[in-house]
Amino acid sequence: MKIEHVYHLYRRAGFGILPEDASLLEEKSREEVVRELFRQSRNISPLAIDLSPFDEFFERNPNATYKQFKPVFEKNKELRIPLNRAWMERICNPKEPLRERMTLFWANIFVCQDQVVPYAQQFNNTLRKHALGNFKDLVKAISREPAMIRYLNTNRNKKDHPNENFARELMELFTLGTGNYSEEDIKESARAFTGYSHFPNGTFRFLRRNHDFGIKEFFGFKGNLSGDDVINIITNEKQCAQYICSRIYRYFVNEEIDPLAIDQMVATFYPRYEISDLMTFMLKSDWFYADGNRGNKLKSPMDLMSSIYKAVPFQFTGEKEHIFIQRLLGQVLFNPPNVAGWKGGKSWIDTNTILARLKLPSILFGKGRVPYNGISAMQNRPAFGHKIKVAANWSYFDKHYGDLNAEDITAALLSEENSSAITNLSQRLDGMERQDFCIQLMSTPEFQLT
Amino acid sequence: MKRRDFIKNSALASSVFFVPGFIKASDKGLFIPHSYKRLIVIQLAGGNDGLNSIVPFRNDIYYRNRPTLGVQRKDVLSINGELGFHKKLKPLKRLYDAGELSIINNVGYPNPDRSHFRSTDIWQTASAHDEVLTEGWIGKYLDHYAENAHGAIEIGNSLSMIMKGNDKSGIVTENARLLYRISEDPFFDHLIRTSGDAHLSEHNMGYLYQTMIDAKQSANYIHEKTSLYRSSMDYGKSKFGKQLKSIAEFINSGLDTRIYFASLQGFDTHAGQKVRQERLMSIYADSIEVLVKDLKANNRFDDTLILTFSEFGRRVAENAALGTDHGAANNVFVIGSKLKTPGLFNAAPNLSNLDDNGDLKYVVDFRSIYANILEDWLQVDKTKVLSTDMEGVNIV
Repeated sequence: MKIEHVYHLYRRAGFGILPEDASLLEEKSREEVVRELFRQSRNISPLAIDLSPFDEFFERNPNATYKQFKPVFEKNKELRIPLNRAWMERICNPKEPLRERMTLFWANIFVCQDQVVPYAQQFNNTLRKHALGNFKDLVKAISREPAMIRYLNTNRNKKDHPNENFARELMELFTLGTGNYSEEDIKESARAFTGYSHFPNGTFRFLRRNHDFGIKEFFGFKGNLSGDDVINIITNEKQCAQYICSRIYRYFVNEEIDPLAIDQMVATFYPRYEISDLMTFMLKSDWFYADGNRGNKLKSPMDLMSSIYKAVPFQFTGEKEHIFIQRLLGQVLFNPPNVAGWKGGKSWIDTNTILARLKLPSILFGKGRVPYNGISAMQNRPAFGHKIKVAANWSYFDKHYGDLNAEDITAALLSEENSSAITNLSQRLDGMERQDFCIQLMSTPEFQLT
Repeated sequence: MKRRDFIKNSALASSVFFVPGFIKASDKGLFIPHSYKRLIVIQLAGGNDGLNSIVPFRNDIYYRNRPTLGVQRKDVLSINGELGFHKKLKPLKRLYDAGELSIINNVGYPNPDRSHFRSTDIWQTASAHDEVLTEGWIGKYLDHYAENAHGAIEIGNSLSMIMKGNDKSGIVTENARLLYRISEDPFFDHLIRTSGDAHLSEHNMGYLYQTMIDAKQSANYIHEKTSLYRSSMDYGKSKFGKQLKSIAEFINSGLDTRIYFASLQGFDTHAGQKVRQERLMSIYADSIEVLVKDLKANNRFDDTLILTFSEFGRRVAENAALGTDHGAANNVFVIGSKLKTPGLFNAAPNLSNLDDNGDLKYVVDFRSIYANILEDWLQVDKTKVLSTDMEGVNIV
């Protein structure tokens, strides 16, 4: 496999790869490399931050009511800061790269937000668990998650007072896409999800007294349909596979859809909905590696952070600095802008975020000014409003990139299509500290593409 | 963005910094505003308790529902014998007496959402309750009517939804100096100098370069325009006061920005409301009064309108923690010298006709206020900015 294809695969389907690992894979066939990528992601490593205030509470009050629980989660809302950090560090340094990439992807399909920190973590772990499994199981699992039940008000969806919020988003955002269902479909399917609730400790609870056991009519089916029945009926529609394949293509391949590629993906995905089959097919396709599909995707803030981390691992030493940076870049994990999630693509880039992005490496590794014209990042005057406390692991960079020439460093940091940036840099590696050269490369518009 | 737009934008570029490979335009006289009217939008974030701001001080239902939090008559500055300002809003009373304030009661939307996030989105995107829009209404204004990113400026450190358009978004900054310091990195000039025609590409690369050029141009423009002027007024020590001071400096130095946005945080008073809300009302009203004075002293007030909203009001009944929970309809303040309906725009809230949650019902849809301001103040096509053709109210 060509080394630029190895880089492309790992940038899009994981969060990057070290030059030495990429050159090892260069020897192998595409088939073998993709198989290896899946093998690495076989395990599931859930996020598990210290939630002892919650654990202790439930140990003392195993049958706690919501009212008793409320002051506990209100008091521990600040745990969202370490939870955010745990996910960010996972993205920057994943053990199971494909699984983590899929988790981030699904989090922007099944958009959800919860201030009860254990619910937020549990939801995230459910995405991770099913990330490469069966799509139908994934949808059923998220319909039972307390975070989702709260976020889309399924807990207020009762026999006598149906709340259509979940049913609407289930079809509009999670499975079919706008315009592929009627208002009547929403009404009828909302009835099927009545009675969904949860215990304060986060386990699903089905309240029979709130459930509507009557006959519902939905997409031509008639009967006492349950929530799972509705999900089965929806996934029975080819449109569902079409919608999910399009979302996957736009995220992993190109914002602009190629209908022929989508047809092939749908043929693989439908009707069994095995996510790993679909991903294997896509990552082995010739079109995934086509010239027009490489180096043209705008990095999300998490893509940007993780690609910097791949070269120079860093750690925020202040408590909230990672949140500040995420906010500056426009992507705060666990905190999507609305139920439709992050819009992605060009919407990441505006006149504010472009400056923050180009400045990010010198904010993290220097004093806020990009090294230039013989002035190193380290000896510069401050040029950014906030001081960011961060520890950079330059010895890691020296170990893995220290022996490479300018072209190889560029190939590792920028996609082939964008490496013309190197010709824009007046000083090549010969006149310059290797570290400053690396900061310069990461401070270019070209580095914003992957 | 299309190639044509790039070239158009490039041609409009001011030459305050080195522009490579394409036409350098004169930095004067190219921007011809549709009119010189400006708008300042302020959000009281968290949900201000409108009932304790404009107090129905002769209403028994109010005092029955608020045995401890109800504002005593002696602390109310009467407007019409029925409603009155909380004494901490005395500066607003002075604006009211001068005919420079409109109070619109019972503003909201059908099927109110009581989540801060969602309701803020609804107000900021001007959507219906069941409609998810991903662009803010100021952002959409920029999409259609602004030549530059600095057509709208938010004072803060990260861009709010309200400022995000489809292909344009406003500038966000704490102040002009910081923005300039971030943008003036010599390496960026180097990149632009050596980029050749990259900014003309119709692909993402072109978009990146063009956005970088836009950012630098706006930062330069703002810096150049504002660096010579400092307000001499005392805005106090609050962060909000400083934000308004920045806005006054931008306006008074003649920036061609049309819309400014700032927010004052902390109104989510579930517990211990009295002290917190009173402090915030003081900060708000005192700072606004200085802003108005500052604008008047520079002859800019006649061309400036100030709109203040909150994502929702609060429940009529107080809770057990000496606070109030999330409510629905609320009052909106509009400040300016050319108001068509100064004073109370409409009737006081009807406390005997609440919704199922015990919240005020809306009478005026918030989008009808936007529609009025867009059409009659900013003089643009409201339907391009709002996803509804709702009739405007008659405020300006």
